[in-house]
Amino acid sequence: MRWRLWLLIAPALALLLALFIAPLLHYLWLSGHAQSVVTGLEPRPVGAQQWLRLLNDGRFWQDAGQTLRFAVCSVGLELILGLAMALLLHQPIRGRAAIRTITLLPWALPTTVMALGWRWIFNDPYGPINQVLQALGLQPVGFLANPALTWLALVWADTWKTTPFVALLLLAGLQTIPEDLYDAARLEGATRWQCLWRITLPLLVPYLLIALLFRLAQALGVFDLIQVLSGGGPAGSTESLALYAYLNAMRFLDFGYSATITLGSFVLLVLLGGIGAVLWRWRPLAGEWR
Amino acid sequence: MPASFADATAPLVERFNKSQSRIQLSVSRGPLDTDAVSDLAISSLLLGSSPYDLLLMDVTWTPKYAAAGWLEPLEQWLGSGALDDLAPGAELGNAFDGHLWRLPLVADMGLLYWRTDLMPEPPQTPEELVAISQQLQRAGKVRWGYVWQGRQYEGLSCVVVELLQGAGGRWLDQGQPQLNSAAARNVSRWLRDLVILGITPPSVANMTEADALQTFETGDAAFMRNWPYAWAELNRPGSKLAGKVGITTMVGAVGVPHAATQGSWGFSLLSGSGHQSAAIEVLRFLTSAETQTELNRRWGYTPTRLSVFTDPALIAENPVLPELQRALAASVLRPLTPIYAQLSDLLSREFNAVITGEIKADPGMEQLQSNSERLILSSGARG
Amino acid sequence: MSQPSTTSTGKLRLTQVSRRIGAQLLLDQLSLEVEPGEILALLGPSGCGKSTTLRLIAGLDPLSGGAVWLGERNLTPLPPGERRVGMVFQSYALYPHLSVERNLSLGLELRGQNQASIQGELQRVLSLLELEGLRQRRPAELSGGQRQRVALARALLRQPDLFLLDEPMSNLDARLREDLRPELRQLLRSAGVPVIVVTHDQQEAMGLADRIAVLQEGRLQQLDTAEQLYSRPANRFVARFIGTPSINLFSRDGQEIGLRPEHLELARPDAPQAEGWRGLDGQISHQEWLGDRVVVHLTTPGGTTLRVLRPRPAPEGPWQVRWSSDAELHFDPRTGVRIH
Repeated sequence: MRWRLWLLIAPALALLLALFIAPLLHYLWLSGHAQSVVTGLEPRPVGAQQWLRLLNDGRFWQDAGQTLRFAVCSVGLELILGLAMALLLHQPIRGRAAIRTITLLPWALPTTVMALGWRWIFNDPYGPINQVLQALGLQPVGFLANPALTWLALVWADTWKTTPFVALLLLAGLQTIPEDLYDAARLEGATRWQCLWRITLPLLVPYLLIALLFRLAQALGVFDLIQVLSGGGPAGSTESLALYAYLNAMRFLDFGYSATITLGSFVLLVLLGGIGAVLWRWRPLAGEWR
Repeated sequence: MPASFADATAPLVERFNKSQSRIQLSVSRGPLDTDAVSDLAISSLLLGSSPYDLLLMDVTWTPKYAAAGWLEPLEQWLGSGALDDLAPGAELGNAFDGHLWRLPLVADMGLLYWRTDLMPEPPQTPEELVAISQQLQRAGKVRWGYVWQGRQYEGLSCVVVELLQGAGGRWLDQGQPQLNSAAARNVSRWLRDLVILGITPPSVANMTEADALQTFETGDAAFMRNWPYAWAELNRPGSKLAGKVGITTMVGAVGVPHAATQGSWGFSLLSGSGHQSAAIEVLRFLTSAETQTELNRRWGYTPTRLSVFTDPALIAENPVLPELQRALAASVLRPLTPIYAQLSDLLSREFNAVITGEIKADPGMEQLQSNSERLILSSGARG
Repeated sequence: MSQPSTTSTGKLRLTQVSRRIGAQLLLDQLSLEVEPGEILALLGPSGCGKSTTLRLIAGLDPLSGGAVWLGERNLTPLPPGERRVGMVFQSYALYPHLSVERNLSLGLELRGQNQASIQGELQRVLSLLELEGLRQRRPAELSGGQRQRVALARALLRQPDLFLLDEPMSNLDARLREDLRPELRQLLRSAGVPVIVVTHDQQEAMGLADRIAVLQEGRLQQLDTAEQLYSRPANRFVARFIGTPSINLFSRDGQEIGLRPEHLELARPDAPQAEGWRGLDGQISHQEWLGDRVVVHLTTPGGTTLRVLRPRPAPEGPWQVRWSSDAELHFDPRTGVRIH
């Protein structure tokens, strides 16, 4: 009755094929063709030419580095802050439900709206932060006029928006840990700190992993936040791979190369995932934390 | 069309629909931001069968859209004299590759706004602009001398185009980039110096038109580079600067004609349109002298037709018209090429790097030149 | 460290221990004593305060009044980690991410005990509870009975001065429970420390404990041996709670009479009645098989329902329920206190 099994999973397979594999194949085909204003938008086979161009495209590699740096830093920060927030929200405090709702608000905000908000907050010299600085007799800071500060502003805005999401995920994880375990540990003389390290964190690892994967995938595809807040500047220092692919498709009408960039990013992502998986299985790291 | 245009033309569209019964014109109100309108238009065009007949287009889109095969040549409908009635400067940027693709509705050009209450005459050269700024800043009259668009985006390219022209340089010549020239180096060095000298705030590196207008509107700056729309904004009732602002063309070297980057909007006929003759009729109406007069009177939109510019009644209502006409005559196009967006992306990125001090002016221009050359070579397109 | 089987640690003493949350009184001035080597069961329906008592003794919840003493030591101000309490939780509370071995040794590690002595003690309890073959397993890979033994081993490993068990058998199936009971009793007694077992199951309480404290709504109802609880219940609640099937209660002459189903007999109404025996006519409403015995439900003309426990079902026909007057328990109908 093999065929019945296939019949059962057929809808899921079809969906996977339609939503994931088909676009991937189309992009693969497109990356072997030039399709741009130069060709009158007609696809023209060019072999591996666009892939060679990608390998030699300093901007692609620079953007890859920038995207990775942004993702690692903001996701790292989000995990730490999200964990702290989840631990706080897990405490039996008065008005907990209301506090939980309020802390989730940034996440409910559309990214572009939130990015516009931060662009105004960081505005030099009229934004609220610089108004305060000037009121204190300090010089205003051009947050979005300097590569390092703009990068920090982006990481901060992303962290501000998505930490609640991480916190919510981890909070769900915290709620699955039975209170008995903490009671047992207290009877054995464990301090709160020891409870956190010996019980909470190891048992939270699956949830931390889910949060990490979700957020990393999102952060590596960062687009609208950067588009609105910095436009990829100053001097291209905050351009992400997604923004570069967007520019090529929608501004330059160079669909062939845009597909190559997107696929190239995908290959890097798969490589990154592979490295992560190997590290995860690596003995010295694979202790009781699983 | 962008939301602001859709709102401004709404009464005219209504009148048009009532005046006859054969054509029912409906306007799709797009986003406010130019790039967002472009994204929307391109998305619909990529699907193959666009639901639109006419598209209101920015001047820089024409070659790209034409090369993509999305536009219908207009000369077969309008004849070779279609541009005859346009004011000098307005005819630019409508034709490409031997065909007419667009008929302009609203002229737009880069202007230098100056404070009539702080100085008797506007500066003519970059040096004068710096000198006046420093003098006013030292006297405590203004916090900043000059605000403009320095963010890494199209606005910065516009700033550069008119300065480059005024310095005797070109972006492209015979399809070849000319960005390692003395003129280009001088322009980039000057822009960086404005920041170093404190004439322009460092935040210029993320400044758009709106940001610059905000600073100027508050009375914090002596000069601003902006488009004509700012005029109405600055002179509206309740404005701090009403009646204290003059406009002129961008500063330039002695003996070189001043320049204004051209940024007009006009209508193109989409090749997928199923109602071409009706669309042409609408196009004629929406670009007519009558429409332009109305749009100028009600919304301050700059006309493109000579007859509107020279209409004495309109000049009486809107005395700034002759100044705008002079600026339009001085207008200069951004390179007419299908790969303009790529070139502009390189230019604004490199100039932004110079402005923020990420790279010095001379090596920056060298890099920009070689990057632009490589782009043109690899794309196989003529510049 | 002392060997648990040879040294007594002093008796556990609760003096007027209370626990209150807001306006709610969970435990009302409970006083009791447990000798070293003695097993006391806390018995009662859910919500009666038995688990609360256990948590108070362990120090997991704060007291609202009273004190907990162990020998000469006042435990009341001590944090749980310093009370030297071995506790088995109802859920067993095993750390799911750790192996059996690490589950046991974590506590000792946290206290900074050196590896050599940890290994020694580990070996002792693992062999005591026959867990050696399971050292490397995770809790998820163990059966219910194995988990219970790991939880016990963890409590034993600490060589506690006091043993607390919260429903230690409730997660096991009935058969296993009966098999394990004598074994568990033996193990607990050999520790030579006061032991408290919380349970809602009277059979378990009777099978494990030397004495039983019956609790209801935060109050101690009676603390006695199983035999005394059965034959001389302090009040109506205890009488009803102890014994299966539960006691028959009916009013007669302004008193409440209690009669255990196993003390009732069935006779034909015309059969002669022995001296000192009483009788009530009744109709069988239905009969309930318990497996080895039968509960016969009868209704009297006065509307009272009586349960009679018999070895076999009763045939149809008119019956009279008969009992010896000595078997009667008399309660004050107002207070429920037993008066005879």
